[in-house]
Amino acid sequence: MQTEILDGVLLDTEGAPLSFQYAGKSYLVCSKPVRWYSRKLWWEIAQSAARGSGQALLEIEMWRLWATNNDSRLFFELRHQLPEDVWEIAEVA
Amino acid sequence: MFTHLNVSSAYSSHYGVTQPGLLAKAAKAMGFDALAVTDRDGLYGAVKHIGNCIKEGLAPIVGASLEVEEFGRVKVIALGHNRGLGWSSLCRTVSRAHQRAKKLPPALSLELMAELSSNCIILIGHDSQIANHLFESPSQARSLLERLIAALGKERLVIEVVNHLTEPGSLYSTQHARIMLDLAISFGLRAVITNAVRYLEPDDALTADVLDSARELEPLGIFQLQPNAQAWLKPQNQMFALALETTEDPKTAKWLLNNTRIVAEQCFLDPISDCGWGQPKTPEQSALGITGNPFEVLWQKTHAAIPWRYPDAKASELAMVQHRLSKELIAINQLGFSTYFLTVADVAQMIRDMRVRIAARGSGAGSLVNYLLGISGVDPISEGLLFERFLSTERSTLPDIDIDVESARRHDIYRAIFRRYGGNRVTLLSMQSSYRGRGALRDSGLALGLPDEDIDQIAKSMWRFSARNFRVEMGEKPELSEFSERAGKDRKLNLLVDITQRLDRLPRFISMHPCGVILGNSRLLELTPTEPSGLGLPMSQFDKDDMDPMGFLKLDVLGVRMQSSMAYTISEIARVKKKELDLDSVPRDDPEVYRLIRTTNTLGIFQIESPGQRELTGKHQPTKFNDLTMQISLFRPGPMKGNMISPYLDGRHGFIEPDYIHSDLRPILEESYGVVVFHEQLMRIMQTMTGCTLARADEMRRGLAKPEKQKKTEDFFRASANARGYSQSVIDRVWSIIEGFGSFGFCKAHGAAFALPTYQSAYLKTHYPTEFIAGLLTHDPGMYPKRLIVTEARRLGVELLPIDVNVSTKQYRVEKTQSGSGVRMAITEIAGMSEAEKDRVVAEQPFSDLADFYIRARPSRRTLERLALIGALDSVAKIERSQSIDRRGDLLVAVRQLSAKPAPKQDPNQLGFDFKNIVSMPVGNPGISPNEQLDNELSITGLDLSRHQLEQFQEMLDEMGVVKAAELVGLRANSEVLVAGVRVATQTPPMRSGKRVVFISLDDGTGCADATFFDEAQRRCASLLFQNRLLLISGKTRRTGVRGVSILAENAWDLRQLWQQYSTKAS
Repeated sequence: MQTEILDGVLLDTEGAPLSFQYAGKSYLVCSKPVRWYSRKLWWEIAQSAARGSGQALLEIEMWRLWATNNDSRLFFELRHQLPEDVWEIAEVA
Repeated sequence: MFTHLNVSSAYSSHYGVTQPGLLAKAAKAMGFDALAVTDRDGLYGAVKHIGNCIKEGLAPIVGASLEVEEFGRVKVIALGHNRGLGWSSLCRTVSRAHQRAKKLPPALSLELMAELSSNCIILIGHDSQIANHLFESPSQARSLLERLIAALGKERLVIEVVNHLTEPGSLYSTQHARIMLDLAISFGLRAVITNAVRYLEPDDALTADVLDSARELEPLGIFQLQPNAQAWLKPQNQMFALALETTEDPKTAKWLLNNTRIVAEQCFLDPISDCGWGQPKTPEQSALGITGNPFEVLWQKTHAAIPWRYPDAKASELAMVQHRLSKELIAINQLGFSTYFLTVADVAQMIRDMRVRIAARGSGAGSLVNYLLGISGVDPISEGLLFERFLSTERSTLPDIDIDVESARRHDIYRAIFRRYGGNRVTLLSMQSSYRGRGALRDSGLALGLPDEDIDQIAKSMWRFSARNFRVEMGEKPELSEFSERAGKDRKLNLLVDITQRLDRLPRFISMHPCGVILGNSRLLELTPTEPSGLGLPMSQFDKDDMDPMGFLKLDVLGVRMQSSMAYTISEIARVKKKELDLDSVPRDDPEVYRLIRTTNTLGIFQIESPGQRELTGKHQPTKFNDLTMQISLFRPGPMKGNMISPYLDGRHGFIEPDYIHSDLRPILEESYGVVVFHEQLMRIMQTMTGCTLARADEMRRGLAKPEKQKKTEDFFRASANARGYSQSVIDRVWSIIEGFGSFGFCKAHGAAFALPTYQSAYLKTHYPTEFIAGLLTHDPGMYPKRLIVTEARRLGVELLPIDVNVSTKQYRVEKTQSGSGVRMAITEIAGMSEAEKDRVVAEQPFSDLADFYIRARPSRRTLERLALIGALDSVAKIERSQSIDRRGDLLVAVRQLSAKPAPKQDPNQLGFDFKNIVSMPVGNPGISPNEQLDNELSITGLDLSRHQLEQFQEMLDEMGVVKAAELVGLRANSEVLVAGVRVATQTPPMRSGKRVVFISLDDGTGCADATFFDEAQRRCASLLFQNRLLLISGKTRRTGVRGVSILAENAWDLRQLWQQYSTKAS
């Protein structure tokens, strides 16, 4: 499955998403976003594990939120990949 | 102010990632004023933590995470500022948790925990069963908590809230933290917030993954992983934010944080009044059997020993002894160490009463008091050793007195010490083993799921190696170049390098220290937690670095195999020659002993048998006891790095005129031809030129490594020497020597203490070679494989008698033979033979025939066959020694017939009938060749007894013109040579240039050929040097002294491979 990447993510001062583009439409976050931290199976992908790279290899920032465009209100689970600063959709319903 | 109450340091083995020192430093930098360490299952890192807190100006808090049956983990934290009540109840709780049936992990029941931890706070956190049940069966969680409250009361019980921001609704999530908080509030309990810290920074979480894998003994991906990288030492503002995020209410958050601070303050320890920090503790006088003032007792004991140690001394000598003794006693009294010396003397006397050999080691040999108390066997006055190097009024830490004893009796001695002083005053010392190269590599390989064989292969090429620099070393060491190339292509191998580096130096497991015993007063077990050692006796959870801070008296009772070898040699002399040899009082100027040493055939002689020492012996040619002290001291990293050996030898052999700089220094430097080698010499130079005391001189010597102290010393030295009339040029030259001396010198007392067993073992080798060989083979004291001792025996003309089930025992015994005497090989050498089998053979000897042996010794089929294969059954099968290999085939047939039937278990006389039938030996089966005999010996005993294993290649070696080791000494320098042999030693000592040099010693039956491989030669054959046993080496001879020759190696080959090529060509 191709990972879907979000465009145009706008953040508040705490780093929580405010709005983003999804499926060609603009979505506004309409719940208090919940940030949590998941992990990756780094040994299956990493090329190296030099000092300083540990957190980025192991940990991943996740956000749970509801967002709306004019037509619908959807639940999103987002993956914030660092250090690339890429936002991916982990789940949408 | 926030305080972290739950922190696992690296001493939570296979769990915590960060060393206590780093944690304390970081805590200070973050602005904290206190820090806890609550390691898993013990106080392993506690003393280091307290020490680091003192250093950083933090208030220390100490606890332990312990398993309570049914309840999961709880944190037991000592309450502080209560004159040690909290600390001692923590120690006792931890000790009790370790008193479990063998193999069971530490744990204790709720009742015991409640009773023992009376002065501790109990934290119930997310690793408890209560937290575990909260989501699924809250009622069960509540009933567990009710039981806890009933057992502990509400005062000491504190709920710990942890929020690691995991997936909402899971363990360690915000929701989980909140219901823990609600639980506390609903029961009216206090709650605190912690971060259940496992590491300093998020980056370390990756290392924690690898440690989890090592703990679970499973590769990553198989077991439940930590949820994320949040368990780090978060700064205050982040902890405040977490409290707010968890409670979603500023008021509750404040309550939670307030509680955290209040609990923390209750647990601040006062190191001195709570833990006895820095206060020396020795056994009570009653335990030593002393009444009255300990100093007076010490005074009497030492004075009473003067006639024993100095029986023929003249009045003037006695006056010197008296003067020195008074000086030492005054210093000891001033420091309040009388009881300490009496304790060590008492132990030494106890050991001698057990008739165990004992010798001192280290600077303790510099003390006349130690000599008179029988702790040391070297006369410090005649050897020029200084008391001040050992003990000085300028320092107040307990000095180290190290005692060497027979290794085989060491455990008996430990038990005797426990009996003598009582289990409440004695524990063994522990030590932390840390991850080093290969261990780190193996556990990293496990984590990544790499195949064992792969890891083994890589581990083999890791040689003298700090895993911390794995990546750098990969690029430099020739034997790693192949691996380096593979890692460039293989992602997992590349990861392996980084992970191995991360594990390096982390504590790995605790074990018994090889020699340390802690002797304290009757409160010892209130100050240190203990756990069972492999020996069964309790050992402290503190290691040697924790002894000084805790004020514990540590006695090093080191088992030395050479002492066992010598004791055994002496007992064999008594048994066979009916002669009681008092080795400790033989004259130390026997010219024959030095003559033997000068031949460089020093194998088996204490301290001077290594290839480097052999080479030095060839150059040095010692003639007296002080020469041995000199030689042992010079061949040390310090003097070697300080380049002291060559100028010393040049002076000794008259190549240069010794330069004493000033006539005042001549008496000090004469023994070393003007080179400053010993700490003692430096001290005496300072004393002579500045007029300071020796104690002060030693203080200045110790400070030389520190720039600011060195500057002060320089100013003092120059001014004082100037005032005493030394010229500017003399002062300049002497100071430049002092300045350069730094860490290069050596303590003469240490060298002299070692020189004694060196001389004694050389004495035995000279006068009782047969018994000495038996001693060496029985206790295997040296650095070389046993088969080299066999070679040496052959060279000395000591007859070696093959293993024979009728006479061989578990020791190598001297036996009378037709030609005189020989050494009978022990039955212990048979690989794969069980202890019980060996015991039965020895107990049932002698045997009348093969069947009798089979019935009474009851060997397994495999053992029986192995015994037959090497000829150990010849005598019971009535085979003459001269016919041994010719009739081996017959013997094997007989053995197989015999073992086809199981040996009868009961009443051998009745059931033995069947077996008697085969007592008549089969005949006509083909025998074996000498080469096959050799192969059997090597594979079954590892010893090439019938002949040297190189002989099988002799034809090829002769054709190639290979030179024998014994012939090297007759060759000119720079001759091109080939040598061959069994690799018996490989050393890569530290070199002044920093470049690695590999020393290889080959044994060819005539002696040892020592070859040196420098950079270029290493590149040609590095992998061979560390892996192959049989080698051929080409190179040029290099003369190193009168009897010294070594080979500057150019290349090396695998001898077996050459032989295969040679044999195929020949046929």
